[in-house]
Amino acid sequence: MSEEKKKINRREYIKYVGAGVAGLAVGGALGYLTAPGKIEKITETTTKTVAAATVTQTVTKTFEKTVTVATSPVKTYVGISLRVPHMAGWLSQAPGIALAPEFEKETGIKIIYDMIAPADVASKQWLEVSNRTGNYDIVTVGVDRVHPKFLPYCIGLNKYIEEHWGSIKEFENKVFLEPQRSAFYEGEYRGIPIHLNAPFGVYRKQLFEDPENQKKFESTYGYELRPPRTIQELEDIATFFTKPPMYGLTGNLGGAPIPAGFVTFLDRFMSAGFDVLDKDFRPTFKYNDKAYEVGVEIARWFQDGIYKKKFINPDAATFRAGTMADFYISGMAAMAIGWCGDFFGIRFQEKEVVNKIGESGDFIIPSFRPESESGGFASWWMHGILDTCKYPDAAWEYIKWVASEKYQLACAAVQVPPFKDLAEKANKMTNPNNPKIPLLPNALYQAALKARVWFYIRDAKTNVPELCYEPWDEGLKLWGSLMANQITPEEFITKWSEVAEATLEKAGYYKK
Amino acid sequence: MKQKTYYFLFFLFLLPVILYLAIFFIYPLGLLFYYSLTEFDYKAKVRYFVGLKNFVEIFQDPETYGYIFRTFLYTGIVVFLSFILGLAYAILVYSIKSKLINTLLRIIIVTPMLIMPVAGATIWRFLLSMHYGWINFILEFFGIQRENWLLSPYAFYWVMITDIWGWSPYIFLIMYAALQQLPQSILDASEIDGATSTKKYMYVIFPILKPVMIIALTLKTLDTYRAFDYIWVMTGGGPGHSSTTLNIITYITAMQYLNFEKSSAYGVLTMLFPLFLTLSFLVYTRVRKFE
Repeated sequence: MSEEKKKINRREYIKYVGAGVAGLAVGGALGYLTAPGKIEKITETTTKTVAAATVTQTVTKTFEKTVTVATSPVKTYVGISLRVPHMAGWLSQAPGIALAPEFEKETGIKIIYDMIAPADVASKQWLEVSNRTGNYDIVTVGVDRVHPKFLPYCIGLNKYIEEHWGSIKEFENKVFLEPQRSAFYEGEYRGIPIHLNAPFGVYRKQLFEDPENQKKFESTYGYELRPPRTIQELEDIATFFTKPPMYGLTGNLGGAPIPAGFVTFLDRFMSAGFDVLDKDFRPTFKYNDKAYEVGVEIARWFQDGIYKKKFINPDAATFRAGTMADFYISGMAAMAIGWCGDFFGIRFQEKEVVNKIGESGDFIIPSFRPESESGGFASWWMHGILDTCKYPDAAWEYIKWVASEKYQLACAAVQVPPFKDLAEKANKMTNPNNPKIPLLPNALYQAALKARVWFYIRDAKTNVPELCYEPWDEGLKLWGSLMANQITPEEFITKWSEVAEATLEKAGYYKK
Repeated sequence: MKQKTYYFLFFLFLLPVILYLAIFFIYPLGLLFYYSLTEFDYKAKVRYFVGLKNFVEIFQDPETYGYIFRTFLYTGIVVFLSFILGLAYAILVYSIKSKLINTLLRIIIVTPMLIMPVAGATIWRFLLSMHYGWINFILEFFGIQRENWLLSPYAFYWVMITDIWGWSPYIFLIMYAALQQLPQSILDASEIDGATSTKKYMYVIFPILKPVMIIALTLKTLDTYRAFDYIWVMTGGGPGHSSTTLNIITYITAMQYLNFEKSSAYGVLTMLFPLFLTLSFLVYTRVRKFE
């Protein structure tokens, strides 16, 4: 019996393994035969860089060659529907999207929104776009690490831009240009901004204006209690108000999967007057001693703020924007820095919140190097028209509407209109919940005006999209380790530089 | 019935199953293999064959060994403790004769399994929060300093605790059902022979339950090996890479790096263990059948 059992054991095993391998082989062959996209051997890769000064000239030439647009003065779009993917639950865009029925009524275009969960908004669109399904007409992508991949699939918009804004130059004068440059690909703009936000600080006026606090603070630190203007002041005030469980400062400093903390670090680094890459595409952290020094200093400030000096609540290291706002609203922090834009204009002005923690004021986050202060970063999202879209003119009508004054001002309490004139207008209007503050808070407006570029745009002229993916995510992971006190600031900077350098080298930007 | 008609009907009735398997299993699996052997040039918009390059890159990354190790560590600890706890629950409920207490206990034990994993993970995230979470309040009451647990070196173990909390009821249900099916005559016979309660379990009940235990363990192992929701919601694979498993890196590579090709290679790698386990289980069941 046992002999027979052993014999069957082996035979059965071989039979199953054989069946499994055969199944996989058939599956593989099926996948190969039916997979979308051609197999083609690529032997040459080219990297294009376009200098800002040549932008307008190149643009004009390109669209003359390639873009054809119907110019009929009266266009009817009745019966046309557009599929637009969007991020579900996005507070900044909700007031604008609520107006969509008006647009539909005006134009006859039916907008079918596909509201996608934030975590999947990029990947779902990428699957559709890279597989050329044609399921979407428009893409909605963020500048953070997402949209460079989408640009080759979006049609050039220069012709439309010229028609609507008069000229490319006029458009560039109106838009917050630095982030807009990231939508520039092969001689044309491929996207129009729909959303802009920047980090800034908020503070509880009640605490700051309390005479006893003012007296005590002045006697301790030798200067008056006011919204911070330097990093030292930010630290002093945060320390002054820290009496656990109440903390002086909170922020959305979380690591992966939410980029907030790493972004805050990059924002402060850039606001100190540095770029992430030097003119030879090398990480400045590694090849510029001053950049390394500042990078380490900023990383240490946040880490020590939690673990040594303890003026930042430790939970902040896992906070996302919403949890940070909840913490602040619960009265547990005197100040908050980070993505406050989604909450300041509406939620912080609600009666119940004001009754509980008093009014909130806003301040610009101080720079670590005031002498060379420069803009930080801006969150920037765009709409682009996919090259598979059957009705590009109708899609442009929609994008034009999203970029319009009506739509953008509807959203202005929770985001910066990405056009300077509209942002200025919003800054002069008053908040419906609190007439004492502007619709677009000052600190946010100022931060947006200064906001330079995202880190993968080397020098405001050249995109290095390769930095958007693995180096970006490795940055999030390393930031998480830093905030967990598992690595030193020096390790954080060095390791990230290594990842960035390896990626850039592999992509052919430079050789060691 | 003619033989031809018989075969025609035979294949006709099989066709839906074949189609189902082909569409939902063989095709996606084939696509996974295919993608894992390619790269996609987004600028040129073409996919090209790169052989095993993605796999080589994966194994050249020292972090990969950490992902594999953590996947097996997670699976091992969670399956072992869930099984022990689930079995203990089952024995406890089985041995309680009061109908009311029995019902109450069953409800209490099964409840965590009824909570969606994402909701369960969110609940635990709040419980472990440094400021709001009652776990820190309790620990503080006993003189232990508050800790940001999900940012500490213990973060991964807290996720394991959550998983055990959530899915040991699964083992409980299987084992409790099996216990209720035990032949009363054998139990009575063992009692007449003077077996103590412990001996009854060791020498009578557990041997009878062995096949069910193996099924429960296999299912639980396969399920835990695929763990994603608790880890993702509670730690996102962090802090750093300290709770990143093969499933998490597969997801991150696809959904955040937007690199579906490398992610497919991780997917293929992730499949190997369940494939081995399933084949072994099939062989085992065939041997049992033969015996």
